[in-house]
Amino acid sequence: MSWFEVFEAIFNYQFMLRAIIVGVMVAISSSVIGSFLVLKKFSMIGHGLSHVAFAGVAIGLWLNQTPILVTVPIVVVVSIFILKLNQSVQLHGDAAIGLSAAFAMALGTILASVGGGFNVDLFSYLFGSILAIGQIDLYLSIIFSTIVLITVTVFYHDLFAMTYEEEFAKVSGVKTSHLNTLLAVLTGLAVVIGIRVIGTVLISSLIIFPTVIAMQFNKGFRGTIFLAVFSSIFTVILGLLVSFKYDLPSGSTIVIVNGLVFFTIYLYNTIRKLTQN
Amino acid sequence: MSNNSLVTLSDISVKYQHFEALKDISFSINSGDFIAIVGANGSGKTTLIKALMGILRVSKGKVSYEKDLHIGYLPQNTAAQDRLFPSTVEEVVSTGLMGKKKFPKILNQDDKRNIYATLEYMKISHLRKKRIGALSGGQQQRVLLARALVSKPDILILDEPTSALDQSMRGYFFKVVEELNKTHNMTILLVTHDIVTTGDYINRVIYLDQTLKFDGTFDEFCEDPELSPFVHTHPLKHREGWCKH
Repeated sequence: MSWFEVFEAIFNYQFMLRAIIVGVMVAISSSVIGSFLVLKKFSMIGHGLSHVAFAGVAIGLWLNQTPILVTVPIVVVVSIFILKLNQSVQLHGDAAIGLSAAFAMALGTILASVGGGFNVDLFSYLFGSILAIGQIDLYLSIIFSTIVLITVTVFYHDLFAMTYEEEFAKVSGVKTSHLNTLLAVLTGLAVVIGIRVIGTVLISSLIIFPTVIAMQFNKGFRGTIFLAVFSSIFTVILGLLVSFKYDLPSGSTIVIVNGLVFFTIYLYNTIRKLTQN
Repeated sequence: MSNNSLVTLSDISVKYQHFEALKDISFSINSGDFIAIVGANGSGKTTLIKALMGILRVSKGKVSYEKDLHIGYLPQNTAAQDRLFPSTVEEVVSTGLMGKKKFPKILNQDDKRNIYATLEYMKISHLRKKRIGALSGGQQQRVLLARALVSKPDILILDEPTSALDQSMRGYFFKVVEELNKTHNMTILLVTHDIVTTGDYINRVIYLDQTLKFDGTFDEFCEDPELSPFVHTHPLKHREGWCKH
C-alpha cells in the first residue's frame, strides 16, 4: 500500500475517518490534562487509571453493556478515591495509585477469565484498534474532550497556580481541594477517551509524552501546553497512518512515534548544547 | 480580637500523628507589626505559620482573622527549585492574583499593569519573559516576593527567605521588606535564623520551642535571662548587632 492510498483511505473508509477524529480528540484532551499532571509530578495517576479502565471495560463486557459507558463512572470514582488516599497522611500517592491499579487489573483479569467469550474483544481495548472504533466512541470522545477543554479553559489560571505551587495557591485563596478533585475527574475522562485508539495499557503515555516533548523547547507554561497539543495531534495522526499502512496495533505505533520524536529532539538539544560549550 | 489585630491565635496546638509540634500558643499580630519568629531547628516555626495560614489543621484552639484579610506568602522551599518547570516570570507572578479574583478568572489590562508595576518595584521587569528556572537564586527570590506582593496583601509571611542568598542579596532583600513595612505599613511575619540582620527592622521577637517561650521587643529578648542559652550559643552571636550583653 502506497502513502497516497493511505491518505485516500481517510476519505474512502468511514472507520479511518472515525479513527482520525477520535485520535485528534484523544490527542488534545490527554496532552492538555497531561501538562498539569506531569508538572504536578502526578502523571502516574494516568497509568493507574488506565488499569482501572481495563477493569471497567471487563465489567462492561461481562455485563454486556457498552464498555466505555460503564468505564466512565468507575474511572471517575476511582480517580477521586486515589486523590483522597493521596491527601490522607496514611498513604503516599504512588502507593495509592499502585494498589488501586493492581486491584483493578486483578479484577479485570478475573472477569476476563470468568467471561471467557469476550477475550478477543478485550484485547482490542488493551492495545487500541482503529477498526473497533464505533459511532458511539466517536460521539463520546467529542463530548468528553469538549468537556475537558472547556473546563480547563475556564479554570486555567487556578489550575496553573496550583500546578506551580499548591501551598502558595491555597494560602492566596485558590480552592485547591476542589481543583484537585476536578483534575482527577478530567484525568479519568481523558483516560476513557483514549482507550479505543491507544488502549488501556498505553494511554498513560499520551498523558506524559506530549508534555515531556514540549518541555524540550523551554517555553512558558501556556506555550508548553500549545506545543504539547500540537505534538500530540501530530504523533497520533502519524501513528494512526503508519499503523494502517503496516497493519500494526494503533496504540503501540503511536507510542513508538512519540518515543522517536522525543529522542530526536532530546538528542538534537544535547548535541547543540555540547557544540555551544 | 483587639481593634488593630489582623490575626489572633488562641491557645492553638498542632499534632503530627502522635507528635505534638506546637502546644498552647497564643498571640496576636497587630497591623504594622514586623515580627521575627525564631527558635532552634524543629522548634515549630514553620508549623506555626502553616497553622496560621490554614495549610495545617490545628488540633486544639482557634485562629481568627480580620474580615477579608489577604495574606502574601513566600515559602521556604519553592517550585522555582524545579529548574525544568516551564513558566515565565510573568506567569509565575500572575498566580499571586488568583486568590483575589472572582470567577471566571481572566487576566485583564489592570492585572497586567499591576504585574508589570510589581516587577518594576522589584527591579526585575526586564526578566518578565524569561523562564524562572533559568534565573539565579537571588532573581528567583525577587520573582517569588513579587508574586506574594502583586495582590497587595495586608500581611506578608516570609519563611526563611534569605537562607539561599549571599550577604549582599540578604541586605537588599531586607531593605525591600523594611520599606514595605515602614512606607507601605505592611505587616510582616518573618521566620528566620538570621535575627542579627533583621534586629534593626523588627519591632517584636517571638521565640518558640514547641511552646511560646518569649514575645517582646528585640532588646527585651536579649535581656531575658531564661533565653540566655539560645542567645549565647547562637551561631551568629559574634556578629555586629547581636545582643550586646
